[in-house]
Amino acid sequence: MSDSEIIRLNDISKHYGTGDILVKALKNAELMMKKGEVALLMGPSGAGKTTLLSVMGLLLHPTSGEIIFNDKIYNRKTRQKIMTETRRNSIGFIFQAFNLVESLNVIQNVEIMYKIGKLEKKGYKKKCKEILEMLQMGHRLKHASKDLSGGERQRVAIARALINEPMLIMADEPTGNLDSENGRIIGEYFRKIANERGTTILIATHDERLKFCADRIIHMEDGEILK
Amino acid sequence: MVNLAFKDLFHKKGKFALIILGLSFSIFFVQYSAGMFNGVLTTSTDILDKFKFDVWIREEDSDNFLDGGFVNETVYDDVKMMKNVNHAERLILIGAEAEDEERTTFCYFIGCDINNPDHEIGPWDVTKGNEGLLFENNTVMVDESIKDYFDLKINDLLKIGNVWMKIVGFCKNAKFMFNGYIFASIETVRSLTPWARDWITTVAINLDEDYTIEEFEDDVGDDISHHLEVLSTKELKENTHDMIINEGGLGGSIYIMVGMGFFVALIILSVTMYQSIQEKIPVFGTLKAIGASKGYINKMLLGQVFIYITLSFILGTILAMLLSFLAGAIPIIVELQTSIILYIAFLLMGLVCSSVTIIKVHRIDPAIVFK
Repeated sequence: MSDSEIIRLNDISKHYGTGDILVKALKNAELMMKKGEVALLMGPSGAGKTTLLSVMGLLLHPTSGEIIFNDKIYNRKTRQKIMTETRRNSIGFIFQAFNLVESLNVIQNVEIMYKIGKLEKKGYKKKCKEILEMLQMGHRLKHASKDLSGGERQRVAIARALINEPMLIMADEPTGNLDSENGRIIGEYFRKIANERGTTILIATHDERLKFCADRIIHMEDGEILK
Repeated sequence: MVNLAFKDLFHKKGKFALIILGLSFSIFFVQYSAGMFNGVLTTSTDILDKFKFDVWIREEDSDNFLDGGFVNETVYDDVKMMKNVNHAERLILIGAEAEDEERTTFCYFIGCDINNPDHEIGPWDVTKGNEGLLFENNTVMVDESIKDYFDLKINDLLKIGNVWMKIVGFCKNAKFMFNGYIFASIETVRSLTPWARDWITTVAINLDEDYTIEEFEDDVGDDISHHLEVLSTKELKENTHDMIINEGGLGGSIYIMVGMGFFVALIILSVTMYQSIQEKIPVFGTLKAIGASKGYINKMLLGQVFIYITLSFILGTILAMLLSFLAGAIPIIVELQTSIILYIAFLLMGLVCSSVTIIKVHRIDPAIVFK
């Protein structure tokens, strides 16, 4: 694994079910991503994008093959606890439906990362505030998440994904619920984050408008990454 | 720092208040039942706790305060002459009907050994009058529950067991289970049974310091103890409680009521937690995806159950205590020790409820966040 590589998939397969109802969602996937790279993962529905995102984000164990992430190997035998720790410390997630905790306000939705994990707590409030300000959400810190627009919610979700300074961000249709203007803003943030922080970002999307922020487009079909 | 367990609970205040209300009611039900159980048992043997005697003589087969049995006064005369008997006192404890022109209620008479200058048993927690007034025949002091029931004043007349008696004083907290005590002299109580003059129901005895109950039993001998029971305070207390719990049926009723209270609380808490988890599967999925540990999720769910139970327990207990003051006729004693035991039992029940939900949450696949 070279210095610039952050994640590599070696012959990854993911199967669901057995016998007649066996579904091969991922077939012998090979992929490498570099530090600071932004890639779009595109393909028709059912192509296996979500499964690839889940396996790369260490949410699912692969059926076979291995993931080398930050020089550590993860495979079907890796303990759940290790995968959870890695997600907490090194991976950020952004979802189409934003997945903010409704009972928390804007800044609390970011602070929650300090509560669930073993992040250095010193100065956490200032850090949360700075990230939200960077994402133009400084004026909304105490607002309830349900009172925000879609674009604002997604910016809070990005702040939550960034607060643990992840090496990798997995985004699933991040602009799927946004208008074109907010979609463009989110794309610009992804580019900025990758450039300034060296964060690697993989975005599963159908949104062609996000191409402007990507270094590369990965196409998938029938569980395979197209060459 | 933000506490998700708290925030999540208080987010929907109406729902939270309803759940607390339901749980509080079932805890109140349990506390009230347990308080009644405590109250009935405690009051049934109040005399034993308030007046420290070593030995009690009762009629054979009347080894508890619920069974009335007659003892001839000669037994008292014989016992008080015995060597090593420090003090002996006569006592009558019987049930009687009290009535005025409109109402009737059942009471318990305590005939006290007023003429004995060393007597100990007499009215307690006196609020008006004094026991010296009981020397006069057909005068009584009554518990305030009887006073309130008949709306009595000093010098009013009350018909007790067909004899009109004058009220000379009041006392409080003097009940035998659900019924108030009427204090009178032994002679006044005997006026209810003019056909039998020399009877009492109990002889209370204090022994010399180095003289044991077993030695007393041996020394009493067959002449005195024929058809009589010699009981230590502990035995008389246990027999009375045993009679109330087992043969009186109180134990079964209370166990059913307490069980029902727990069952209702269990159902409320289980349904609440289950429904809460069902509603929040995406939230838990997200928390797991972003790296929440099992320990964090466990703490969050247990914290919520702890808050539910603690708040409801405080409210339910306050409600039971308030009602114990208002209940009047029913002796309800909410004890700290019993409350602690019940609180621990409710927490354990909460632990069972939350363990089911914890298992369910741990089974949520974090990958659902991408679906």
